[in-house]
Amino acid sequence: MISADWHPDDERLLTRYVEGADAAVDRHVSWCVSCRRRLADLGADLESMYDGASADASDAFSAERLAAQRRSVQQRLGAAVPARVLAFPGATSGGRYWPFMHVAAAAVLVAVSGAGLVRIAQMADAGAVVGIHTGPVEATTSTRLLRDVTADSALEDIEVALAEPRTAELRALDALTPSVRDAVAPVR
Amino acid sequence: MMARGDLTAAREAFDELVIKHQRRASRIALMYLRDIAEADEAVQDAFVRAFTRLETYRDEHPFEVWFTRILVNACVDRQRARQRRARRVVAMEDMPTEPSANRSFSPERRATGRAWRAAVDAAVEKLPARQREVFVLCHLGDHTPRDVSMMTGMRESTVRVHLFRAVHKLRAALEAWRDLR
Repeated sequence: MISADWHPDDERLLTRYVEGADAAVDRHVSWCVSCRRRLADLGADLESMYDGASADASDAFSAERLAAQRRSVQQRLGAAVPARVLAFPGATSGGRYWPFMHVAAAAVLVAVSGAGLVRIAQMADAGAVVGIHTGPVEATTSTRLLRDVTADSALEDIEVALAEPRTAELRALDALTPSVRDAVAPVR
Repeated sequence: MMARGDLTAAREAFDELVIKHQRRASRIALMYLRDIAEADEAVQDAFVRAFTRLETYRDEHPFEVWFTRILVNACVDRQRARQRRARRVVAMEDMPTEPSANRSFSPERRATGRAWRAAVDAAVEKLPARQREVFVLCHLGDHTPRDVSMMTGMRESTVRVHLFRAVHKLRAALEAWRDLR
């Protein structure tokens, strides 16, 4: 209950001005000349400030300037890319080729390591590594068995990888790349 | 439109938003930065940022509230950059109290009401940063304390307190002008 001698303070009047309505204040100023005057003064002050600032802005930002601002924004938007599209478009296609890249990388890795193992096996068969081999015979046999198994599985892996339809696009690249066999054959 | 990748259409649609909001945005930026060229740049920055971050916009707030927050940040960034430049170039005590208010306004500024406007500018300029921010957004930007609360991250009650203090100080500073207006 608001007492009869109550008068809204400045903060309450400002809230009334900002909000545009305050039942208690409105009732009060309907009969209190002093507060009605205070509210009117407050409104006049704020309107004057607003008009001053608006006039500054209107002077500063004429229709021509706003049009130029718009054009400039449009130009900059032409160069700007929304965050959603920021990811390079290739990321999508990269995602599509991602499994092929892995298969290709795996195939190359397997081929290189397989070729290396085959070469080591040939050298071992030729006795090239005998001089440096100091381990027992059992160990050599098991190593050779392991080596053969590894070489066989590696070759199998290569065959499987090459048989995969997903490596088809690598064949085109392969056709463009000179193979070691082609490079070595003329020399011989 | 952006989801469909139709950037041209998105830019055209965004142009309508620019038209709708640029006047108010320019007024706010001008009150913040007190320099037409800087305010112009800040508004452009804000629109470009808004466009590039449209995906983060949620309809729970009006676009204007979301955009004004971006604008305020753009203005604050420019203010900071200007302060850094000023620190490098001249000592703070040599800075003019009204940075560029007089040199950057058009000839009309020097006509009727010039002194009053300059007085308002100076009084707003002297407000503490938070009070100035709230006053500019609430009163000159036509936003409610609730909107300003969302824009600035301040509590609504805090916004009201800052607004009250700002208005109180401005009225006191401009008291002498009351009968001259």
